[in-house]
Amino acid sequence: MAKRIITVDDAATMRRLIAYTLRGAGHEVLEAEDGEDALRLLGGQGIDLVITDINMPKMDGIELVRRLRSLPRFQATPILLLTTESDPEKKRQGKEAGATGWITKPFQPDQLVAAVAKVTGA
Amino acid sequence: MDSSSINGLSPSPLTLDAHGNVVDLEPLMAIGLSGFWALRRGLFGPTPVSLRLWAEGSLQIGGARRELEAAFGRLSNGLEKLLGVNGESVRLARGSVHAGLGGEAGSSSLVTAAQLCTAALRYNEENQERSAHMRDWLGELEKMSRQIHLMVTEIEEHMRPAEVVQVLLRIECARLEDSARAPLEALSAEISRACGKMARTMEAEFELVGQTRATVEHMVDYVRKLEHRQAEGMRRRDELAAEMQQLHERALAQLDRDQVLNRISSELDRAVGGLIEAMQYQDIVGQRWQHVEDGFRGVAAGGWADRDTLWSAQVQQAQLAEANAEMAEALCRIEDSLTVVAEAEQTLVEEIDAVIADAGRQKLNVRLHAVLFEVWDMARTNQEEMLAIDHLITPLLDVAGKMGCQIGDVSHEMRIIALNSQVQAARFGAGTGLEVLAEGLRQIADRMGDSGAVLDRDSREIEAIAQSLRAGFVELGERMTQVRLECDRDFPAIITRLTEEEQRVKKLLGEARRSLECMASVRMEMGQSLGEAAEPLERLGVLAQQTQKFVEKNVAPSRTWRDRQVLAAESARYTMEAENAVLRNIAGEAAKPEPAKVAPGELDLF
Repeated sequence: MAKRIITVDDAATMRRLIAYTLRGAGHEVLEAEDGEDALRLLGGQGIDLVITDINMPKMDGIELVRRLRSLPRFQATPILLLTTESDPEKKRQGKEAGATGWITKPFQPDQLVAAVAKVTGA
Repeated sequence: MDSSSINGLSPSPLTLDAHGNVVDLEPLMAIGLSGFWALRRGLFGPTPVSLRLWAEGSLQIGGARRELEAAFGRLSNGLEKLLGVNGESVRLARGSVHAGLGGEAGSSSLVTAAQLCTAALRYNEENQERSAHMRDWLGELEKMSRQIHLMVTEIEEHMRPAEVVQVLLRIECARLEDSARAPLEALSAEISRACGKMARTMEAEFELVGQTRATVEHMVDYVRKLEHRQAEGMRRRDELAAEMQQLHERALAQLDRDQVLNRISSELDRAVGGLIEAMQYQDIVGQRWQHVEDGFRGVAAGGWADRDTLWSAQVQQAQLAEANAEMAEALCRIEDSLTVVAEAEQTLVEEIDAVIADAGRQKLNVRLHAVLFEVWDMARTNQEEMLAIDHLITPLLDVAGKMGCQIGDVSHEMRIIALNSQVQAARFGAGTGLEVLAEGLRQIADRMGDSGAVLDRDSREIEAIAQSLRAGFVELGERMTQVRLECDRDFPAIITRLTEEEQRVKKLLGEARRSLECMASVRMEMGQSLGEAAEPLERLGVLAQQTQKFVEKNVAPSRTWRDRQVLAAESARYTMEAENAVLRNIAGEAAKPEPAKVAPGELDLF
C-alpha cells in the first residue's frame, strides 16, 4: 500500500536517492532540506513516515524529532533517522527524542524499502 | 607574534627554506645553549609558513567538496533520467512479449484458430467417410437404373403381340358379315388406340429412364471425382493440422522470452540499485570532509608551536587520506555499476534484436494467415460440393416419382379391352379365332400389368435411395455450412487481431530499442560527470600527500597517556572506524574492539 513519506536532508543528491527508491516502490515522497523546511511542509498535512538526516543546518534531525513528537498529530508517526553517524551517544539522543529507528548510510534500495514497509506496515 | 621570529629570537642569523625549516646551523651556535630549547621546536616543529599549507588546504577541501557536490548533482540528474528510461525500456520489452502471439491475447487467438481449423479439418475427414457410404448407395442407384431400363424394354416387347392381335382381328373382321363386323371394328379401334397410347407412354418412360440413368451416371462421376479430391485433401489436411500445431508451439515458445527479459531486467534493476548505494558516499564523505575542512582551519589557526596543533594535524591528515580513499572507492563503485548497467542494457538490446530477427525469419503470422486461409477455403469448397450433390439429387427424385405411373393406366385399359374381346368372342361363338385373340389380349394385359408393377416398385426404390442420399448429403452440407459460417465469422477477426498484434509488437520493440539507446546516451553523460568528479579528488590527493610530508617531518609519534587523550577528543568528532584507524596509526596500538553494531543500511529499531 502506498504511503506518504517526507525525506529531510540538506544534501540534494541524498534526498533524490531516497525519493527515487521510495517512489519506485510506489510511495509518495515529499522533500525538505532541513528541519525547519520539513515543519513548514508538514504544517497542514498528514504524513505516514518521516525519514531524516541528523546533521543539517538551521534545525538538525534530533531537534526535528523532538518538535514532531510534541505535536499531537505526529506522536504516533514513525520517524527514522537515516544518517552517516553511528555514534552511540547520538543514537541515544535520537531514541530519547522519540525516533522509531536508525539506519546508517549507505543503504541499498531494497533495504530502505523493506525498512519503510516494516515501520509503516505497507 | 612576529611570524619571522622564533620564540622571540630574531631569525636573522637563521636561514629558512620555503617550508620554514632552518638550513644553516652556524648561527645557532651564536645563540647559545639558552636558546637551544627554544630553537628545538623551531628546528623540529612547524612554522607559520608551513601552517599556511593547512589554511590553504582548508579552502581546497571546501572548494573540492562543492565541486563534487555539483558533479554528483549532475550524476543524480542522470540517474533520475536513467531510472525513468530503464523502467520504460523494460515495460516496453515485456509488453512486446505479452502483446504478441505468445501473450495472453495472441495465445487465445491462436487457440481459437487452432480449434476452428481442427473442426474444419475433422469435418473434412467425416465427409470422406460419408462419401464412402454415398458411393455404395450410388452403386445401388446405378443397378436400379439399369434394371428399370430393362423393365421398360420388356414392357415394350409386350406391345408386339398386341399389334399382331390387331392384324388378326382385322382379318377376322373381313371374314364376318357386315352386321357382325361393327363391334369387332370398334374393338380393333380400341386396341389400336391403346397401342398408340402405350407407344407414347413407352416413349415417355424411355425418356424418363434415360434421364434417370444420365443423372445417376453424372452423380457417380461427380462423387468419384469428389473422392479423388478428398483423398488428396486428406494428405493436405494432415499437413495443415501438423503445421497449425507447430505454429502454436512456436508462438508459445515466445513466452520463454518473457523469462529471459525478466532476468535481464532484474539484473538491470540490481545494477541501478548498486548505483544508488554508491552515490550515497558523496554525502557520507562530504560530511567527513566538512569536519576535516574545519579541522584544517583549526590547525592553521592554532599555535604553530602548540603540540595539540600538531596532533590535530596528524589526525586531520589521516582523516583526509581516509576520506579521499573512501570517495575514490565510491567513484570506482559508481563506475563499476555503470559498467554493469551497460552490460545489462547490451544484453537486453541483443535479446530484443534476436526477437525481431527471429520473428522476421519465422514469419509466424504469415504462415498462420496462410494456414487459416487454406482451411477456410477447404471449408467453403466442401460446403459447395455438398450443395452441388443436392442439386443433382433433386431432378432424380422428380424423375423417379414419375416413372411407371402411366404404364399402370395403359395396362388397365388393355385389361378392359381384353375383357371386351372375350365378350365379343363369346357372342360369336366358339371355334372362331376371336377366343384366341381375346386370350392373347388378356395375357398381354396381365404381363404389362405385372411389369408395370415391378417398374413402379423399382422407381419407388430409386426414390427412396435418392431420398436417403439427399438426407445424408443435406446433413453433411449443414455441418459444412456451420463450419464455414464459423470460419466466416471468426477467421477474419482472428487474422485482423493477429495482424494488429504483430504490428503492435514491432512498434513496442522498436520503442524499447530506442529507449535503450536513450539509456546508453544518459549513461555516457553520467560517465562524463563521473570524470568531472575525479578532478577535485585528485587535488585533494595531492593535498593529502603534502600534509603527510608535513606530519612526517613535524610530528613525532608519542605514546604518552595525554597524547592518547588528545587524540581521543579529536577523534570523537569522526566515525568510530576513523578513530580506530587514527589510534592504530598514531598511538601504535591495536584497535580497540568495536562494539557489535547494525550493518549500514539495516534498520535498527528502538
